[in-house]
Amino acid sequence: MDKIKRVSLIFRFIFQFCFFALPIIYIIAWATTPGDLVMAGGVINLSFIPPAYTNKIFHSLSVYDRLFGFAVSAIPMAIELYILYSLIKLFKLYEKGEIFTSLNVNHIRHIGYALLISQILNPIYEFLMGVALTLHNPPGKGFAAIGFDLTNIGIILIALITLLISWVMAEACKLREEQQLTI
Amino acid sequence: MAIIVNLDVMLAKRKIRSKELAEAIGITEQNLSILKTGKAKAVRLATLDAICKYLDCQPGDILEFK
Repeated sequence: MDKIKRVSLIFRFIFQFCFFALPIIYIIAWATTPGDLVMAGGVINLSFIPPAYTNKIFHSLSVYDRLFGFAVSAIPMAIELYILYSLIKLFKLYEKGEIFTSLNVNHIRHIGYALLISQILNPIYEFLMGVALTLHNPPGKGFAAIGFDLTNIGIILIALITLLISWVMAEACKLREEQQLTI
Repeated sequence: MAIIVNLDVMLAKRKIRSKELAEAIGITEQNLSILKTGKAKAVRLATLDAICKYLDCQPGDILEFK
């Protein structure tokens, strides 16, 4: 149990760091857009422009365009932050040694639903991003694309597995409660 | 319709305190309290056996169906 608590503490710190760093990275990325955000000597290379649009922007992005793009990026960012928030809460419970409780189940379930929602909103996000990035293109050069690839299928599968795990955990909680209340 | 636990009645009749019973049958006072308040989901036969032995009573004196 001590090992779980110790490892959970490390993971919680990592998630907390990501939780605060993510919005900052988004802001910096959009401030430097359309250039990619290159960090750690090229080890980390972040681009918030979907690949479908990289060759479709025929104008320099104005402050308005960047703000619009940032606002559209807020859709996946909000979901990512929510997932990180749930992970922080979940690992805080693990730190306290609470493993089979209804709170754990709720957090795991929320992560599953958030992943699923992220993929449902993904086409809307990609379409809006197209509008944001190519709105001021020359007439006839406006472009919007909706993509769906193996990554999306992978995330949907992870979401469904996470939800399944939350159901299994809910059953485990019931068993634990029954065991606790057997005198 | 439910199973009623009359353990507190038996304890009063025998003039025995919860703490004493808990120690005698080897369970915690907290668990005995769960049993007394009817929050328990199950009772082990071994626990029931120990309670009946110590209080010198029948299972029916402790558990009642109403």
